[in-house]
Amino acid sequence: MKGKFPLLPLMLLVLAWAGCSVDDTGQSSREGFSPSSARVVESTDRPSPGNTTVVSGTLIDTHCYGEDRRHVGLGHDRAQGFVPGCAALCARYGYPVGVLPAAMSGRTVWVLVTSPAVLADYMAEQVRVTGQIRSEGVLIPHRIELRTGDKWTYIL
Amino acid sequence: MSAVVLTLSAADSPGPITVTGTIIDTKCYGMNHDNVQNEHVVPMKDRKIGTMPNCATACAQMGNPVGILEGGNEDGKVYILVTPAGQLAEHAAKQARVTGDLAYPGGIIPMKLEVKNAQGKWEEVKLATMM
Repeated sequence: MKGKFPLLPLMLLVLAWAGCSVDDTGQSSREGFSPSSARVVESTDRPSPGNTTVVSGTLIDTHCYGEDRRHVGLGHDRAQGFVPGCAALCARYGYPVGVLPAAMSGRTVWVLVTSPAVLADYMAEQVRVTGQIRSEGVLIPHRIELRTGDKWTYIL
Repeated sequence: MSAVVLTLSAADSPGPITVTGTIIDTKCYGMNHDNVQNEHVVPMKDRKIGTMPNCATACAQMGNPVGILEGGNEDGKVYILVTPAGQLAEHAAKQARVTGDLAYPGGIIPMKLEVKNAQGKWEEVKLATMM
């Protein structure tokens, strides 16, 4: 066996590597990628348009968060008072949604190029998005998963 | 093996900017940079390529974010307009001028948006807001 296939262990290692995806939390996953997907952005890379990446964090309404960085939860304390379910209302209304990565702070939001209304029920939840980098801070999602307990559940 | 996704940092203080360009459907433009007009090149059955009239309008009506392609050429920077896409559906592929807050590296919260009308004059589009 070893004599016939001297490179087999190396090939298996390469295949295992190719099947892995890595998100910003350092987690590895073997799901969510099509065989044709581009490479995943890693720490040594700058995110470039066209690359596939995986981002996890809080699903936010980009309108309210853009106005006030405290608007990360579902309800928002706005000038006219506290608005329960504000993020979901904004998403249903059509404001683009984005992902605020958990491990980062500041203005590192990824705006998602998808219909926001379909994600309205998941606002302020933890999600993991696999997609193609459209441009700086803009992601075309191919797959969106919701954090449910200690698992990720495919939602879009 | 540990890895992180990096995004480039934007200016620390957001400020109003004005961008002139073409209103695009960011999803179709992201797939194919020829998709600047309302009619888009789309993949069809049997790996054929076809065209879909009023595609940008339809995508905006479905809620896909609209953007402004600076300068209107395919090398221009795209800014997503942080506003409900549906209210700009009828203005897809029009020349536009938007002034707003650069809230994200690739996104503007528009304060004022104008489109060129048939006479070539700027006409303001009233943007409805949630509250």
